Amino acid sequence: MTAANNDIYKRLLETLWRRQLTEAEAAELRSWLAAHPEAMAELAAEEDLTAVLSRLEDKPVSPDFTARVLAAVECEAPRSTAIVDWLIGHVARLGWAAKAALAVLVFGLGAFGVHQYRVVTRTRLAESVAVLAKVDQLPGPDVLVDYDTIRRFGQLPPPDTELLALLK
Amino acid sequence: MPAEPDAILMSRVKRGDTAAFAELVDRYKQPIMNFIARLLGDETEAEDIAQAVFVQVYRAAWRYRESARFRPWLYTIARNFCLNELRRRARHPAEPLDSAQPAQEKPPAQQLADARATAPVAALLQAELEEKIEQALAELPPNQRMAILLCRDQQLSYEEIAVILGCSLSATKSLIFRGREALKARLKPYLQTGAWKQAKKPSNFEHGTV
Repeated sequence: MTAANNDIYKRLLETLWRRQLTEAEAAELRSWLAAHPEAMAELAAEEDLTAVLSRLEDKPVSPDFTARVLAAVECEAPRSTAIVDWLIGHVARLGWAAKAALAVLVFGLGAFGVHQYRVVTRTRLAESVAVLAKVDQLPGPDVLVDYDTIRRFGQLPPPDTELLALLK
Repeated sequence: MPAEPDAILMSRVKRGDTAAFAELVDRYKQPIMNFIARLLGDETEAEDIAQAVFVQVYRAAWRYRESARFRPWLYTIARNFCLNELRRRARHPAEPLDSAQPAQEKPPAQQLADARATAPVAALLQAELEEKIEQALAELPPNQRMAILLCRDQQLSYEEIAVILGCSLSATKSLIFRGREALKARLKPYLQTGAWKQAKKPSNFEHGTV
């Protein structure tokens, strides 16, 4: 409906959903309706609905409702989350100085943990390097220069024993 | 003796004061029960959930900031519990018990005759009105229903309702508008008769309660 798009009507309608209009608001609405009489029916329907919604009865609540809630609260067994909640609750209640000191402590512990991690990592790295350093004691690659020649020795033909006997 | 403000009671609850907590429960059990029962459409279950809401309020009291208003914070907890229940129902739909025992129901005509014979007209109209509205509300989508129910609570601003619903102010007003349009359409034949105006107003009617 066109009326709903009108800002004045929309604002006053949203007010009417919650409460009675003030004198000034009622006058503003009357003035607006004088210029938009087609909105009267819609406004009447809105007022009827608001009145009808306001007439809804309260739902029944057990007379011992509060007692049962209190019993449930008192019977709650300690749980890990409850302990965490308790801890966080106590932290939340600390003063600013205490919170700052706690933050410094947590940060310090964190920094110490990072430092320790780095120390351990470097130590392990140094140990690995020490193992690799022993490789330096092995013969260098130059000893392998005649490797192919030596390997071919095994491939030579058997000795000519007759020739050796003649040469003696 | 004027009632203590909610924020002062909550600061006492945070220190473990169960008397202050009991006072808060007494103060809000009715509006919360109204909200949950109409949102879920089940009064029995609504009471269990309403109790769980207040237990959660006690557990989470350390999170409550005295600078914030208690009412919206409480309704937010209630909304979360209701959404969990609605999701659980969607995953595990239950068959209504009534459909299993049709033979034991009284014929509608006999019921109507008995009611007319004993109840005054105004009370009858009120009962009929309640039934119509409850049905129309139950047929709304949950988010529109929630918005309409929160809008009934005149102690919640639109901004607070938006925070409770978890959406923007304009989206909240849009939900309320669409919900009301749907209600007007469903209740139009009934509202047009004007008979509901003769219905007796409930004795516990007051502004500010859902």
